[in-house]
Amino acid sequence: MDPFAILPPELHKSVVQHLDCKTVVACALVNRCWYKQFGPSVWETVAIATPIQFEAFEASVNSGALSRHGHLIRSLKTEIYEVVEMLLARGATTCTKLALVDVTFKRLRKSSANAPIYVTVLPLVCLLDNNPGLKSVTLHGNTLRMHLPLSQIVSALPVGVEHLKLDGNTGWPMVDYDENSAGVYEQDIAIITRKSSDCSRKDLPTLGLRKMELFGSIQGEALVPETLKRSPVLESFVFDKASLYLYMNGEEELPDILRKHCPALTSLYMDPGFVDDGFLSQLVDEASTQGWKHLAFSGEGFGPLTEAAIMKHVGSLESIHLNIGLGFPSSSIQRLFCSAPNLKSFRGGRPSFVYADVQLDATDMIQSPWVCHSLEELQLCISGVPRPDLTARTNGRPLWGPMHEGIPMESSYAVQRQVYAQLGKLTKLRELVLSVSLKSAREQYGEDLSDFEYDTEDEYHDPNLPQAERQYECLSFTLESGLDLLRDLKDLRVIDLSNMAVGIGGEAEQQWVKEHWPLVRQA
Amino acid sequence: MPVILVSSDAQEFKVDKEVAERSILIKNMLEDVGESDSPIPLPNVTAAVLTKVIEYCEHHRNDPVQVPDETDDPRKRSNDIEEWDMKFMQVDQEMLFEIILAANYLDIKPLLDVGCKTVANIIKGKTPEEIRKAFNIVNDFTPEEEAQIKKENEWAEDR
Repeated sequence: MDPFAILPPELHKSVVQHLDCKTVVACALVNRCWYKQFGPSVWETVAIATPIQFEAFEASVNSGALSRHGHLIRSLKTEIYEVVEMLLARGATTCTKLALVDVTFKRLRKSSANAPIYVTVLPLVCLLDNNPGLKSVTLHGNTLRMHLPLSQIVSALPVGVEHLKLDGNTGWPMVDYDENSAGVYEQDIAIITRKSSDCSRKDLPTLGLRKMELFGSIQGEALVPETLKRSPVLESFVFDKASLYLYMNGEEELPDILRKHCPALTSLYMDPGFVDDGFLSQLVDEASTQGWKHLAFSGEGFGPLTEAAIMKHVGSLESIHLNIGLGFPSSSIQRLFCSAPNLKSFRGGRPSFVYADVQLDATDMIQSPWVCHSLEELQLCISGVPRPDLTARTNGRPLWGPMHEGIPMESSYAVQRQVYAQLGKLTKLRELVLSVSLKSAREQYGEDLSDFEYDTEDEYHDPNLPQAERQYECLSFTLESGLDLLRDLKDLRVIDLSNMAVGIGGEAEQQWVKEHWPLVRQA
Repeated sequence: MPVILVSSDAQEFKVDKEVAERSILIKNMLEDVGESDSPIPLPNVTAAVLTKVIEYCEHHRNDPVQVPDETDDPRKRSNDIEEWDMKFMQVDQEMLFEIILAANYLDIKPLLDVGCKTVANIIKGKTPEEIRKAFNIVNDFTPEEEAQIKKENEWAEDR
C-alpha cells in the first residue's frame, strides 16, 4: 500500500518533514509517482560543504541537471565558491528563484594552473543580479577584509533582501597568495572594475534590510555607513569586532548615521573590541530613536557610562545579553530588574566563557522587589548566599571565610527564602540557568571570600573533571531552604545548576520537580 | 455524561465526553448541539478503526493541550514517540493508514502526528528497493531514467 496514494495530499508534508536528506533522495528513486513527490524537495536546498559533495554536484550539473531543476533551488549554501561559478555558467537562466544564499569565498581548485586561489566577486554579483527574490544573503571569507571589493556586492543586492550577514572570520583561502600569480589576480580585479564601472549607479535604491550582521574585521571602503544609509527599515544591527572599521572610518559618525537613517532600529549586538566606554555609551544613548528592545554586548570596552545609557532604556528593553568583562555590577543588575517591566530575556555570561562574571549578589537581590515579571529566560549567577553547611570543596580542601564560618543556618535559610520568593514571581519563566563560568570572580570578591574554587584550580585541576569551577555561595535548592516558593514557575522547561556546588537535592526534591515543573525534562 | 458515537457500519460506542472531546470535530459538534443525548454519526470511520481511536483517546484523556514548539526540528522529533503510542501503532499498514485518515477527519492532532511519524519511521533509512518492498510498490522507471535520477541527486545524500 502506497502511503502517498492513500493519504490526502495535505498530509504528505506531515510525513515528509520527518525524513532526513538521504531518505528523501532514496524516496525520489522509488517510482515515477514518488519522484514527482520528492524530486523537488531534493533540489530545494543546495548545500555543498565537502569536496566529495562538490564532485557529486559537479557530475550532476555536467549532466545538465541545472537546466531541469535549477528553478527549484530556493537556498544555496556552499563553502566551495566554484558552486557559485557553476550556477552561473550552467544555470544562469534557471537558477533565478533563490531566496537565500550563504556563500564562503573559498575555492577548492585553482581556476587554471598558475591562477591564484583567490576568488573574484563577479560570479556572485551576477548571481545576485539574477535573483531579485533574494531575502537573505550571507557571505563568509577572510578575504572580505583583504581583496574583495565588497561595495560591488552590496550595490548588487536585490532591494528585497531583508538579512545581510558578512562574516570576515571564517573561510581562509586554501592556498596562500603567491607573487608569481599576481599578474593573473590583477586581471581578475580589472574585470571586476570594468563590470563595476558599467553598472555604477550613483543613486543606489533603498534596501528592505531588517537585519545586518557584521563579523570579523570587514574593510570595504565606506561600505558600512553607505549600506546603513540605504536601510530605513533596519531593525537589528549586529557588529562584532567593530574596532577596525571604526578605526578606518571615524567612530563619531556611527551613532549619528544610525539615528538619522535607521529610525526602526531597536536591536543592537556589539563586541566593542577596543572601543571605549565613552563611544559605546554614546551609541547606546543616541542611536535608537524608538528605544532599544534588544541589547547584547560581549568583550571589553563596556563600562559605567554604557551601563548608565542602558538604564535610560529600561522601559523598552525586552532582552539584554551581557558577555562582558568587569563592568556590570550586582547593584546594576538589581536596578535593571527593578525597573524593566518588559524584560523577557536576561543572559549574564555564557557557560565556560572566560569573561562571564555577571553576577547578582543575594544581598542586593532581596533589597527591593523586581518588576520584570515577563521574564522568560534568566541566565545569571546568583552569589553571596551564606552556606555554613558547606565546609569543604569538592576536592576536599576546606572552605573558609564569612560565608561559611560563624553564621547560623537560620540566616542562610532566611536569605535563600527571600531569593526564592523573588524568583518565584517570575511565573512566565521557561529557562532558568544559574550556572555560569566564574573564573574572574575572585578579582571581584577579593582574597577573603572563598566564593569560588578558582584559587585552587591550578594546583588541583583534574582535566578529567568536566566542571572544574564550582560555586559554593549558592542556593541550596532543597525544600528545607524554600524551594517550594518556586512552585508557580509552571512554564519552566530548562533548569541548569551545573556549576553550583550542589544540584537539586535529594529524592524529595526530585519528586517535587516532577510534580511542579511538568515541562522540565531533566535538571 | 457519556456520548454515543456511531461508526460507518452502524455500531454504537458509548464513551465519556472527556474522551470523545479529544476529537476537535466532536468537541465542536457537541458545543454546537448543546446538551443532547442523540448519537453522533461518524460516516467516515469503521467500527474497527473507531475502536482503536477510542483506545488512544482513553489512554490520553488527561493529556495537557499540546503546545507547539516552533524551535524544535521536526526531523529530530520523529524519534520521540512515547512507548505506549509506539506499541499502539504496531498494526498492519492498512489499519495504520486508516487510523491516520480517521485522526485527520476527527481532528485529533496528536494521533495524526504519531501516525505520520510512524509512516516516516517505516521509510527512514531505507534504500529505494527496501521502500518499494515495504509498501509493495512497483518500480515503473526505465533503467536509464533510474540511472539518470540517481546521478542527478547523488550530491544531496549526505547534506
